[in-house]
Amino acid sequence: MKKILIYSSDFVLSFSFLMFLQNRYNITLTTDLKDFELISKNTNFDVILMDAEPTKETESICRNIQRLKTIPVILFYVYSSEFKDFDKKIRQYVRTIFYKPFDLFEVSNTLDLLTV
Amino acid sequence: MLNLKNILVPIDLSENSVHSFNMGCILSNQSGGVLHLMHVIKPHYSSGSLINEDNLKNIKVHNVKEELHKFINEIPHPDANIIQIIKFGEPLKEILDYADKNNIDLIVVNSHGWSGRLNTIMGNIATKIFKYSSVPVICFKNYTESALKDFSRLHSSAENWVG
Repeated sequence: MKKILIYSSDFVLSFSFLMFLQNRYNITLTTDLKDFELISKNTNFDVILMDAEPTKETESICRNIQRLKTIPVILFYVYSSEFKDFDKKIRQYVRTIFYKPFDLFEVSNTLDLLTV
Repeated sequence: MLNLKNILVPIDLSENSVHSFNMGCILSNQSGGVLHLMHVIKPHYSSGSLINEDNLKNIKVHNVKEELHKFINEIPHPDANIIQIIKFGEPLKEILDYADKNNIDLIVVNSHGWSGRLNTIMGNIATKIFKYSSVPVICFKNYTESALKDFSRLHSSAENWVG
């Protein structure tokens, strides 16, 4: 099974992802950003799902992931105009962004494509 | 219903183990599953010592049993169906073997238990579990009040998604 790392500070969201995807993917889930950073550096995953606003910290983590491993990262967050600039910048380091609320089946389709 | 019939919580009996034990209890309560609380005693290697290895092993098992008993009794866990497991061997191997042989659906680990923090990579059991586990893994650092609130809406939210 392909391995997916999920980060969200919202346990309910990440756990819901886990329940939805567990039959098709090997899931590791964390709710701590520092742990997420370390796990993503030290373990190989096929895709990373990251639920976080596009801040400098998020950008830096995504940049490092791309620099070290080029693992596709899917970012989730609630869009607002204040993130316009960060959104533009961070797109170079993530495969795609889903704005909340998102269609879960669209996410699932994207995962299928990325893990072929 | 969440399909978590068997949840494995490997602990090193440190303070941080409390967080993963709590998490395991809540998840097993919500899913109606069994919580497998596991501690692995690392083997003791000695060369030609005067110590009787069997006696030493028995003492270790006895001590761990007491520790586990204390650990479980100090943390309220009404309705949780808990199985206590004590194994001898290399923790990573024992944890993964147990998960494979006992239809474990989920492993809950604390990132600051089992040989220190995640960033002390060498020898860190949690890191290796992420790498080699064939079942989903939840990595926890702290068990916060906000997480506790989240759990109350966990079941309905996850079920709405999963169907």
